[in-house]
Amino acid sequence: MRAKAGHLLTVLLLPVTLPVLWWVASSRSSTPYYPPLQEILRGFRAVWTREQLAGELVPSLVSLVVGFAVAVAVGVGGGVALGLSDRLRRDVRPLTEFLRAMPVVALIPIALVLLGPGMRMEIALIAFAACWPVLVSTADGVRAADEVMLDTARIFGVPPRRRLMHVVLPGAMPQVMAGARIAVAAAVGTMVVANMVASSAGLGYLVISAQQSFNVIETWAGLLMIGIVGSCMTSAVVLIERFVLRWHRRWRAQDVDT
Amino acid sequence: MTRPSTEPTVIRRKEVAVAGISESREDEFPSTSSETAQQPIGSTIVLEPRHLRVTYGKGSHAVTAIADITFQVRAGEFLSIVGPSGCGKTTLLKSLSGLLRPTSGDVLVNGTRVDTASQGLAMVFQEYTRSLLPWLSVRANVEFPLRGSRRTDGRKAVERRADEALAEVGLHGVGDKYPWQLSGGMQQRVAIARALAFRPTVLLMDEPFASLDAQARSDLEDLLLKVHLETGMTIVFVTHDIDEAVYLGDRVVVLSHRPTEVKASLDVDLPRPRDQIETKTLRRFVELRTEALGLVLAERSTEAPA
Repeated sequence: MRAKAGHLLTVLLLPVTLPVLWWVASSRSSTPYYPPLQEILRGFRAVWTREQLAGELVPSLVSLVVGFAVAVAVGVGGGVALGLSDRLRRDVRPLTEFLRAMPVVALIPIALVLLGPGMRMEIALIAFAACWPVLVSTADGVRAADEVMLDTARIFGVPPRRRLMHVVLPGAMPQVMAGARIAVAAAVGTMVVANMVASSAGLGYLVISAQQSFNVIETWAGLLMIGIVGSCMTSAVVLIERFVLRWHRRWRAQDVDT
Repeated sequence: MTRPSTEPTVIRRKEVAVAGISESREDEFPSTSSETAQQPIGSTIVLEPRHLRVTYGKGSHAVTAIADITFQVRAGEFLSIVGPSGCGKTTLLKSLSGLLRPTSGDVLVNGTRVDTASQGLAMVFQEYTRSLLPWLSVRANVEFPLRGSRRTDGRKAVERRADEALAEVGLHGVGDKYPWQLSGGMQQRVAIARALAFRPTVLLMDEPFASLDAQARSDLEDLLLKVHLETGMTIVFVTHDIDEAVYLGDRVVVLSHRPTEVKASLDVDLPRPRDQIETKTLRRFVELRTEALGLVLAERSTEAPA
């Protein structure tokens, strides 16, 4: 019980102490650029009215979720193909390395030209940025599929499709999920940047237009919301990971024990 | 007691005393093959490698793992295979199971040539932790080869077969656990149950007990003997342990060092059921194991320096 309480304390230590510190440190601030946390929170409630949520937050969330889903689908599909075929991996590697090295921000102008401003472009950019971590780690996971497991399935006459779905993919799942976690950060970042540079709505747009009109409180309020969206998205992926890999954590723990 | 080591010594098998243990479990664990359990070994040849040759690599780098292997496995037979270390036992099993295409020669299963790895054979590997799927429960592991396969009809039948197989290896009530929550011996029981539920033409076993502790090992040897007796399943058991080979088998095939050939085939005319203490103190047991050991050791000493 004490250990549990101790654990809870460490978990809450930073998330509780940092805001408290911020609150205290900023409470007497008189510079307009650095308003007290109390005012930011008041501003947060004022900014995020129902209309604002529908007008700025929802479009961003839709782009984020759809873009991320496309990224995972493309990343897993491509990763499986690359993981299964040594030849394909070798032949495609220069191209994937080139694209991976391309900063997504640099693609915004051309994306604007090709797709025009709006959600379609945002989704495309988010999907592009977020698919690489999933692709690379899925390919690694598929390549590392256990030969003994595969041989066992082959001898039992398990057809290739079923071997892929029931032996290779579950075995690669820890890597797939690790890639997805990294992809969340990439997706959120891309969403904000795309909003800022090339949109007339959304979280990033709200922050940058507030800043441009010297509305510091609103800038802070937007930033806070971006943080909340990011951590919610990460938590969602972690929850999915816990469900999908419920065997894996204990399995690994057991490996360490013995 | 020594035999000429250049060519296979084939001793015709004597009748094995199995008449006393009859039809006790037939209803609980029906055998798929046409012969019923507890019948003495039939005359049908179910598995036959014929002039099997496996060469790895090409040109001057070519290494011949298996030079020429021919033997026959009869329905219901328990065949042990031993040989010096590194003699290509695993290569042989891979060829038998169809995982590896031999450079020349054939493998016949029920008289038909094997060219893919799905001829109704089952394999139990030494590495049980890598052979069982860690994300599936014990029960789901046993059911896995049966699902989505033409060999079975319906969910109910699959579940019943898994239940029977788990009961057969003494694992009632652990179906919902994950394999890695069990001890090594229990995990290998799961692998055996999975093979049993599949009802293979031949059960291939690749040093299945080599990484278990001595206690679990002798328990599983006796479990396997019981399963063999009750199901009449044909078993090919590869091991490096000569005592184990003689204790379990109806026949022991001794392989030479690389490039591998069949050096001898010894009929194990020991009465069944066998017993860890009684059988192993029989004079005949000691003779057989000494003979087999002599053959394997002779192979080791004549091995060409690498």
